[in-house]
Amino acid sequence: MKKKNNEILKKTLTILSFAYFYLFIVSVYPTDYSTTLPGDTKATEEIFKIENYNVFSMDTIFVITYSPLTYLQKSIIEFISNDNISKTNDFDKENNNIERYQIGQIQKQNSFNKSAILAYKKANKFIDYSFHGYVNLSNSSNDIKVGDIIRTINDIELVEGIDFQQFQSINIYKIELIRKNKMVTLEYQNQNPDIKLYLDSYYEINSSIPAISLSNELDFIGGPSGGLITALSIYASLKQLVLKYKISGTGVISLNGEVKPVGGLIQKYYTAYSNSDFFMIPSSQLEIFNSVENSKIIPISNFDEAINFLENLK
Amino acid sequence: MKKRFKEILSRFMRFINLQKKLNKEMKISTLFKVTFLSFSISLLFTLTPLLLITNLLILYNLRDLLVLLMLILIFIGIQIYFHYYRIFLSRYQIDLTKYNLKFIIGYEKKIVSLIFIFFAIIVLAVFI
Repeated sequence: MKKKNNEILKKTLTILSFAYFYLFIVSVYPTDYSTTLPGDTKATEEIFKIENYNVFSMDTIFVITYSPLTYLQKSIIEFISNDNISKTNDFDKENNNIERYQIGQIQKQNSFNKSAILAYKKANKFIDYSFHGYVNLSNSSNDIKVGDIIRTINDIELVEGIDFQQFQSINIYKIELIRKNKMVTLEYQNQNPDIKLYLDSYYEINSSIPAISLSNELDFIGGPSGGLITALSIYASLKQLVLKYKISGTGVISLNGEVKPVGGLIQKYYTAYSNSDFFMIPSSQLEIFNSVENSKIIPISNFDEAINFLENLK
Repeated sequence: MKKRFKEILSRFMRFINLQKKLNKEMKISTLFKVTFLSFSISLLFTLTPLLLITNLLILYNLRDLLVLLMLILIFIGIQIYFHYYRIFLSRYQIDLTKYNLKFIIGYEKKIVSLIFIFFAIIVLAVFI
């Protein structure tokens, strides 16, 4: 009897070990898919501080992107909602998680600087800033690293709004860049057509009155999509506006006030809509919400529009 | 209180003495073999559940619960490791059974578990 029981136990364990091994494989093996899922909101009063001013808090939203998904993760998300899965894009393929995190942090800092400069200018407050060059946000080149700030190409200084088309036909570049606060010069041969640098204009704030600082506590959040709301929140704080409405939103902001599109907009909307009175989005992405009838959605094309909206709420 | 403190101290001194003797007599090959085997078994038990939890971390709302489960799993992993450590130690070097292995390994297990609980509390304080 005992022998028979032992045999049954052995058989059961053998079968279970297959299931166990299968679970191991599906939770490790990567697929070619990625997902963006709703995350959470963060109040802007947690993001920055302005000396001697109360921060007019608004909500920025972060979503969570996973790339690549394992088979198990893909099955779970397909079970919840099939809409959230997409094929991994080139950016996710080129960069691993650590590089994506680094890029996100650089984008966040740069976006914050641009937001602060724009808001201070609109609020007629003093801000001294400088243009440093173009920061590289791509890992496709072995020579130019993520975070390198390019100052000159073939001795031509990169000024704000420079036309990069002029460099396209050149095969050998002499590049001067800042890497970890040191000036580096390198000869760069563009033999590989797959190498595509993604450059963004990089600004730094030298001083401002009142002084503003970005909190380092929210290191897990990255990317430029909080730009619009950060700029609006800084502006409202400097103008000492008092409003009873809860405003949230998303949008990349440029120094001329243009509001640019963001990724994961639907997921951001679902993260924030229930707790907000108004949800600002880039107007170029309004068509995404065709199926959603909601008076909370406020399309914004530039920063002046956002300020007008805020002033009219008073 | 004083009596209790004395008791704890004497138990600790006893552990240190026994541990010293055990270390002197234990062969280096036994140490590697036993550590490797018990670690492998502990990993075998906990790796797949840990991977499952890591996969489920995509569900942001369940993050706190999953981190808690992960810490519990690691705690279980520590218990399994020391359980098999004692078994393999008495199997591969039988002369060591003259020492109270149950006490020595049990004491080691308690120390490691306590350090882990301390670490887990810090992790939970950060996450929750």
